[in-house]
Amino acid sequence: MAKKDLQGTLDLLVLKTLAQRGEMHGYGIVLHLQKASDELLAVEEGSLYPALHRMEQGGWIKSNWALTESGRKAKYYKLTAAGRKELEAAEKNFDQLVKGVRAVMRYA
Amino acid sequence: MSLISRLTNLFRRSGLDHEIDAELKAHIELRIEDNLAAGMSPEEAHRDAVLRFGNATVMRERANTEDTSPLLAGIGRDVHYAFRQLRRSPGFALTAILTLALGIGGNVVVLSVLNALILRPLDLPHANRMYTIEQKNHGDVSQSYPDYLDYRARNMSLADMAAYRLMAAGLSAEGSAKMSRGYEASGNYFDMLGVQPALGRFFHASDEHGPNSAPYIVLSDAFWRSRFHADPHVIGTTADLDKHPFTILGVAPPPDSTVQKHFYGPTSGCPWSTSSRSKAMSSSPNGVITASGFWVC
Repeated sequence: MAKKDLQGTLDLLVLKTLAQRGEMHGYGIVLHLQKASDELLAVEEGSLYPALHRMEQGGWIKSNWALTESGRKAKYYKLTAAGRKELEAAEKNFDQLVKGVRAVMRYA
Repeated sequence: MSLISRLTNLFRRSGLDHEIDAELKAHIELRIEDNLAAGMSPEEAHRDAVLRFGNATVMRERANTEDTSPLLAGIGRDVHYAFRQLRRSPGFALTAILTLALGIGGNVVVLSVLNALILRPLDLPHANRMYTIEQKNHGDVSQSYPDYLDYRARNMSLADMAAYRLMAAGLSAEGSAKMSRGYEASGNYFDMLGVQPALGRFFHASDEHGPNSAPYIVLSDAFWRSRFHADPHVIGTTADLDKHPFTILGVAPPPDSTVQKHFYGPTSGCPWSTSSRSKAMSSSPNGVITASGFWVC
């Protein structure tokens, strides 16, 4: 799959995570993705951060520094209204993509 | 919006670097914590965390790229380089700068004068319906006053017509006399333009009853400020034009480019009909100066 598609899928996953779990830091997002996908999705952890920064510049998420439970400072991310809209659109696109690929695969 | 934050981030590169560094470090530390809690030894925990993270330097650079604008940073570096080169050869730099300054400065002056005089629309209501009527006889653009009266009387296509003429007179007020410029204008001048007085009142066509019947003048805003120091009490006082008394009726509003000249007197107010000035011009039946000007409709 093209890099753009992969990038798009990662964006979708991050947006969905934040939509469901509220405010999270990068590490938390990684853990959630591993758990929710039953360890099927193992994203290179560092690659999350360029994506997060890109999404923040795009206005889909907002960040602020806060303390974790263990008292460590970490950067938390939250979904914005624009991000919510983008999530809907990305979800629709992805569904279409999956349907399309499946259809081609099943074509006799 | 993101462009603005990218631009600001270009100026706080080191701050941005620190922030990204701290964020990535926090991630690794959190992973180490979890690993330790899962029972790994400190070295194992550290190694595992770093391995899972991937190449921290690359990730830091990529995050940096997302937050700034590498294009602008590149341009910034090029400009910086250009400055350094220019500093090394000051003679060339000076020549180039002077040439550019002269060229740009000259253009700016010419265009701003052009803009003020010609390109800027008149600051009047109905500015797009105003016309000047000029005669092109023998290169002479003046009109005669009797012609104006005839045109006005038989006018069927224009809402109104007014006439004005440039004049200069010694205006003495508050003890000092100075040569000042003004317009002699027909009584309906201000009404036709649709301008309202800023102070006092304007003269109207109804004020004219024949020669010397309307010794009034109206000041332009600029003239009022410079000559009379913006004193509101000059309304109603008398100023002498070439030793003939005129009452100051009001002040015109700024910045109207057609009312730039200093004062206005209705044509019926001007007592020069038999003065030496009019010797080359024909005089109209009611003895008013007829040398003409443009008129604006």
